[in-house]
Amino acid sequence: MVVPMAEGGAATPQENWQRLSPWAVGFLFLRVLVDFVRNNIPALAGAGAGVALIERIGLREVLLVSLVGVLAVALVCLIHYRRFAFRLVGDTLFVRRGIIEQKELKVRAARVQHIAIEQPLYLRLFGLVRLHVDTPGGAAAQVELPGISATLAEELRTRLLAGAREAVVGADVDHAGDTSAASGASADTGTHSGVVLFRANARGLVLHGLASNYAWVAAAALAPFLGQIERLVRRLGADTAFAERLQWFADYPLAGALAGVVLLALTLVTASVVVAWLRFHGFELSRADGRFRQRSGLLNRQEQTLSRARLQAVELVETAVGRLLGRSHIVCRQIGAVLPGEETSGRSFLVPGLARADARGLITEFWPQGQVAEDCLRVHRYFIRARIVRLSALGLLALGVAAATLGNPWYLAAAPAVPLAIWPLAWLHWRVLGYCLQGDYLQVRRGLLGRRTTLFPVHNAQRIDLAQSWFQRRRGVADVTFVLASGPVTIPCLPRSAADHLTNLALYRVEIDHARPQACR
Amino acid sequence: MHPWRKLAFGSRTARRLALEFRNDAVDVKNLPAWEALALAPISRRYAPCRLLAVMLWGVVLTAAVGLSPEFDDIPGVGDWRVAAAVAGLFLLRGVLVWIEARYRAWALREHDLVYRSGVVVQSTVILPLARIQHVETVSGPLERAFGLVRLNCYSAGGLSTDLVVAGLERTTAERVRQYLLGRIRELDDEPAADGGADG
Repeated sequence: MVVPMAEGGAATPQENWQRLSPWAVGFLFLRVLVDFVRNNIPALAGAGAGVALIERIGLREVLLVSLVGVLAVALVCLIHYRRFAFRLVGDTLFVRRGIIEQKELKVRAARVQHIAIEQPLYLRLFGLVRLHVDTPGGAAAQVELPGISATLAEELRTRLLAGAREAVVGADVDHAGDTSAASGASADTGTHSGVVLFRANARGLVLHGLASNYAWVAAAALAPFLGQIERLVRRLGADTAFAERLQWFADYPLAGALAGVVLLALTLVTASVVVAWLRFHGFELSRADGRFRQRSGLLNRQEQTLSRARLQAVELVETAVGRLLGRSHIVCRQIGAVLPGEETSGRSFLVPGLARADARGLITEFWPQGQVAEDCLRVHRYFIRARIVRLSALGLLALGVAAATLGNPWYLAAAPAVPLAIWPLAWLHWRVLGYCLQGDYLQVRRGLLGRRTTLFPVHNAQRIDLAQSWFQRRRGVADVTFVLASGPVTIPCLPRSAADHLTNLALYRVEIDHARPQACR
Repeated sequence: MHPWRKLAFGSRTARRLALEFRNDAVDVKNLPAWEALALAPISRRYAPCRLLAVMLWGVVLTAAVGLSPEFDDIPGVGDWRVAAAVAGLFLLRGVLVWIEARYRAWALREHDLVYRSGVVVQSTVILPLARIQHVETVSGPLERAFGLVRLNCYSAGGLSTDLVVAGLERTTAERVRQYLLGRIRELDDEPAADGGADG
């Protein structure tokens, strides 16, 4: 590749080595300090170690050491900023970084998996954004440009994505130039080309918060302050006036327990709704030439794009509460595995608060032929028995351990109840479990009270696993796993003939798909 | 006829579900059937190689348990009995590993690579050649002593190896690797796969 020299007169502004905005030094500095405080405050304050330290070596010394530490951090941040540079040549992003040893990272557009633009509150004041570029090379190859101007980020993204699309589709660059001009508007004005597919309203977000449990996100944010909260509670417990009020609960244990449960549920629900609202405020999903883009967030405004070529599977998630409220959400799975637990984090492409009809309509936006069918084929009934045996074994083991540790052999008398208690669960699981093949699209539904339906074209399979235990071989059933580039999808206990059909069909489709010209993929 | 073929239609539910199975676009009967594929066993030297590896660990751990004073204090259990139990477990494992190794089989078709492993839970992995991004051959010191090589195949998206064909003889593995690389080049117009970012 011919790389024009940085000083070359013909180079476009992006082709010269560029620095981050000078404000970035401040942000880096603050982030390091905040991280340090967040990680160490619970240890220092919680156990009283900080006080002990100050008493031991004196306040002045501690302050002096802290000052030296802060200055060192500031110096490191300054050096980091001075040595951090990036440029875009053609469709390749070069990043030069490193404090002691300077490294140059080269990210080709074709290898870019995911680009996200974030604008936290403190960056919004300066009109700056943070740009993340994910590649399949692991943590060392992730690029973050903290603190570049919104217009520059937009342009970098457009060019990287155009390059990526060019690699996939073979489109001409002039066309991409058009889009960059059209969508070159800054991230905070909110205007860009494309068709708006979905806008989440306040009601949808509240229902989404109710239906999905975001309370643990709030809990995780509060985790560093657990020590302080615990001490506060203890101080309240020691307070006699408060203890008298608590006496009421002791007098009416049933009402007290009920009040406690209601209070806890209300807290969790409120936290969940607040987190959902912070995360998805002003959610808007739009499409512009084969790319989907979503923007959302109240304090931390984020923007993500998804190209159809990189979409591996679409998941329609209806939680148990969501089914009561008639709301579901869609998670788009892209190349590169994101664990199910991470889907509420910013990395995954999630469309919240969808009504039933909206969800179905949106799936046809992603894949015109993709449809979620209501009636699925069930798997073999042997699944129920296998599930009961497996879970009962665990339950009986737990019972045995309990009996042994408590020294009460009468606990073992409950053993026959374990499979009986598990049977309805296994049956429920089996009833929901289903699969359906429509044209090229395979749909797999799982869940207990909720539903999680994964839809994907079978030609997206990277690998197919068939597993059969000894018992399954006797029954003529097999577990089939389609390993997509976004993660595995398993259909357990399929009749062996159906499993073989699906496998043969998928292998055939993979070949057909690969033989087609790249533009169709 | 393969033994499971009879069994697959043994249960009424299985038969009904098989009939319900829908398929619109393709004449499934004429698709190449993977289940008709005859898998070839891997090298016979793989079983002794695995057994030796297990036994080496067994000897090391048994010696460690036998020589350490930690287990002298357990009342009613002599030092040698703990060591004997450890040795027994490793012997059992050795037998299982031997049987498992003799059951492993593989096949290379025009469009995919198939590898079967496991005795109680039998698992078959099918990797379409079109999906292979990168192939490498690996061999540890013990495998080298037996003239064996592992073939690691990587596909997109996965963080780990997608298919490990263990227990191939060196010449076979090298030929397969060359063939796979050739096929990848044929199938893929893009230049050879490289890392997402080069330093």
